[in-house]
Amino acid sequence: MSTQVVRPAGAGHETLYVLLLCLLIVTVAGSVVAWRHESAEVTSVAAHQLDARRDLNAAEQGIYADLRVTLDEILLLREESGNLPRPAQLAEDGFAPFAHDASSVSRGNHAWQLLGEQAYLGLSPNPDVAGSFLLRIGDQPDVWLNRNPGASVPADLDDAALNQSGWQQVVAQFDAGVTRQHRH
Amino acid sequence: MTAVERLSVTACGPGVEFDQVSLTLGRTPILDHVSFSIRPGSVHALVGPNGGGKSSLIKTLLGQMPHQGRLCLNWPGEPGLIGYVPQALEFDRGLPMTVDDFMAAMCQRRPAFMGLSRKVAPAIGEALERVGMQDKRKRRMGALSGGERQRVLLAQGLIPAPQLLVLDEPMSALDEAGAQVFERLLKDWRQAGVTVVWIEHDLAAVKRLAERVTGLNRQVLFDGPPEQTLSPERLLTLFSTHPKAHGSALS
Repeated sequence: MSTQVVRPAGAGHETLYVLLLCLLIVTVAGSVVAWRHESAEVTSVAAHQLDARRDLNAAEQGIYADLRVTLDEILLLREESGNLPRPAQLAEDGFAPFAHDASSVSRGNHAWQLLGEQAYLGLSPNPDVAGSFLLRIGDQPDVWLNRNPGASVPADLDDAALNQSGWQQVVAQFDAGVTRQHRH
Repeated sequence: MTAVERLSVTACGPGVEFDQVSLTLGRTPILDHVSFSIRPGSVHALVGPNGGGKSSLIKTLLGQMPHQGRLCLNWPGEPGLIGYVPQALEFDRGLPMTVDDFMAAMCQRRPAFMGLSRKVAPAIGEALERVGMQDKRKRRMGALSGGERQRVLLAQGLIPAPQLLVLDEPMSALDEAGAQVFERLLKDWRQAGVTVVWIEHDLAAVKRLAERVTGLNRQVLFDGPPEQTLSPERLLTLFSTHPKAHGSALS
């Protein structure tokens, strides 16, 4: 003889099961998040540097990008002739930002000159539109920016001297914060 | 559709004890302190008007309603199987499901589209034979008449053999031949000691076939052998719009 009591449906125990299931799902999801999480690497640029994406305005970004592209041509031309090509020659060949065209005017109309065999300097008559640029050609070519209205030809081209006279190095960083993509 | 619960097999059906069972859905009282008992191995009929709570009582018995009160099954041994035959089956008439498919879906674990399982095929054949549907096994369910469909429903209630059988108006659509089949089945169940709970509108059939009958209209209006309880005066009370209290109906 056995007595089986019919339990009411929809009573507390079913709510309890649902809550337990919710708890289980949250626990599993939480543990997966805790297990798989990656800490975001926050990279910051030094005080004497500018981030190419965040710290430049549109005109400066355009000039910076053009300089990076034209740098390859400059290096090729140097291999051919042994000397750095003159800005006038580059302008003639139509290489931005040396060429005189509508975009170079709208980007501040820089006056480009070659400093010895080491660097190209583009002085900006309109620092509000875009600062003055300096493209150093060395083992590691890099770009410097000076937003002071009185920017002039730097006497010395090493880092410390450039810093002293108000130049800042433009650096590009590839991190997830900018591109929102994983780079594995 | 079937509420057959596999527990273990015993020789005889359970007794059922309703003790002050109430059921309220939303704010509508469906059952009001229902107390009666069903003897083990008996054929117990439930009668009453539409909306009187008969089907709800059955669903309560099957554990599908949030009832109050105590409801227990007293099995003679270990708890056994409960079979359920619903009132009707709702599905699209164009559904390409044959009688065999339906029986397979109801009675076996293997998906119905993979065909009848070899284990239950003999039982299904026998059950369909008992309800006289053996020669219509390949017919679409939608092409069957209401009575034939109800026979198929009865057949699925036979597999596996239950110890407590709950029937929700099994005769409502049955034709004469179907009614005879049902009476034969009822006799078999009684001989096997199966407890049968049976909702029925046909009071003549109840009087002829049931051992005990309970009149239900939100509350129990009468409970006893059909010869004594099914008097014209009681039936008037039972099918009146406002059910009177238990006492006056019995007086």
